Amino acid sequence: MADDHPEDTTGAARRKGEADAWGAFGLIISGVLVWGLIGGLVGAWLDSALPVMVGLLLGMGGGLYLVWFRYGRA
Amino acid sequence: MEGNVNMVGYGLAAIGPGIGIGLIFAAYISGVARQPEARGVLQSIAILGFALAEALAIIGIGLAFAL
Amino acid sequence: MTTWSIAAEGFQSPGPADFVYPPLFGEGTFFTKPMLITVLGSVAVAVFFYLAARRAQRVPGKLQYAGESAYGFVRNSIALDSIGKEGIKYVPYLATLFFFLAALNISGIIPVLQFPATSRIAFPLFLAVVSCVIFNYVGIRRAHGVGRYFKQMMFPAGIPWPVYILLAPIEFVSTIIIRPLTLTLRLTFNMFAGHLVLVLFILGGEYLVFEYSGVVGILAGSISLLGSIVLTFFEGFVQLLQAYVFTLLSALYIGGALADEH
Repeated sequence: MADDHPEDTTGAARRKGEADAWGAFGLIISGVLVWGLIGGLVGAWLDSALPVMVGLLLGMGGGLYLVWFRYGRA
Repeated sequence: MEGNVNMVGYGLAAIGPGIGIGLIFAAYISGVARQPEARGVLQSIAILGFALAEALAIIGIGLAFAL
Repeated sequence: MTTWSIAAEGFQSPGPADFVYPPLFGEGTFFTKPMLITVLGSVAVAVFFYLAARRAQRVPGKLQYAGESAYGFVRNSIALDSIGKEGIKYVPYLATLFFFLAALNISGIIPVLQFPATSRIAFPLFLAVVSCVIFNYVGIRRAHGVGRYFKQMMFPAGIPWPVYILLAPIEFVSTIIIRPLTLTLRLTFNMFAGHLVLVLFILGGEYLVFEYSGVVGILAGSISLLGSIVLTFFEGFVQLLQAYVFTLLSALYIGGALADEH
C-alpha cells in the first residue's frame, strides 16, 4: 500500500493512489464483464434470464474480493 | 431523438453511487487534511468504499443492457 | 424496451456524423482531415524538438530551454515519479507519446484545423495497444518467462484454489483487455464530447443570432457565442490534461509490471 512517510504526500505516493483507484475500477468492471458474459451465454443456451443475474452478482463479488485482496488489506 | 428507456433508468440508478463516491472521497480528503499521517490507512479504506459504490453503478449498467 | 423520438425543426443539432470527414482530394482518395492533422501534428512536434536540440549549448537559449523543460517534465514528473530509477529507460517512449497526443488533442482548438484527431477511436486505440504490449513485454522479461508472468498475474498466492476459477479470468481480463480499453475510451470520449460541446455552442449561437433572430434569439445567441470562447480555453486545458493522464497511466502500468517480482 501507500508508504508510511507522512511528508511524502506528492509524487510517488500520490501516483500510487491513482493507480490503485484505477486498478480497483478495472477489477470490478472486468469481474462484472467476464461473469456477466458467461452468464449471458448460459442464459441464451438455457433460454432464461436468471444466469445473467447470477453471473453479474458473482462477477461483482469476485471483483470486490480481488479489490480487497490487492488494495484493502492493511 | 431516439433512445432506450433502460438507459434513462440507468441514469437515475447512477445518481446513488455518484453521491456515494462523492461522500467517500469527501470524507477521505477531510480525514487526510486533519491527520496526514493516517493517509496510508485511509487510502485503502477509501479505495474499498469506492469499489463497493462503483460496483453498484457497474451492476446497474450490466442490468440495463441485459434486461 | 421502449423507444421514442423527438423531431427537431430547423436547427440541425451536431452529432456523431460531424466526426466523419470526406476525403480531402475528392471521391476515391483516402486522405481525410484527421489524417492531415496527424501528419501536421507529428511534423510540428518533430520540428520543435529538432530546432530545440540542434545547437545544444551549456547555457541554453530560449528555444533550447523550452525543449528541455518540456522533455524534463515528462522525465521527472511522469517517468521518474511513477516508475522510479528504472523509468529513465522508458522516457523516450513516454515523451513521444505525450507530445504526439498533446499535438493531436490541441488541434481541436487551433483555428482552421479545429478537430481533435484523437476523437477518432483508431488513434488512441492503437497507442493504447502499443502501451499494453510494452508493459506486458516488460512484465514477461521481469518474471523470466511467459508462463510465470501469467501465473503471477492470475494466481496470486494466499487464496484457496477453488476460488481461482472465479478470480483468474477476472485478473486476466482486467490486465490484458480492460487496461488498454479504459485508456482508449477515456481519451476518445473526452475529445469527442469536448468537440461536440464546442460545435453545439458555436453552431447553436450562430443559428440563434442569424436564423431565429429577434431580441431573444440575438441575446441568447450572443451568450452562447461568448460561452464558446470560455469553453475553448477550458477545452484546451482538458486536452493537455488527457494527454498527461494517458501517458501517466502508461507509465504506471510499466512501473507496476516492473514492481511485480516475487
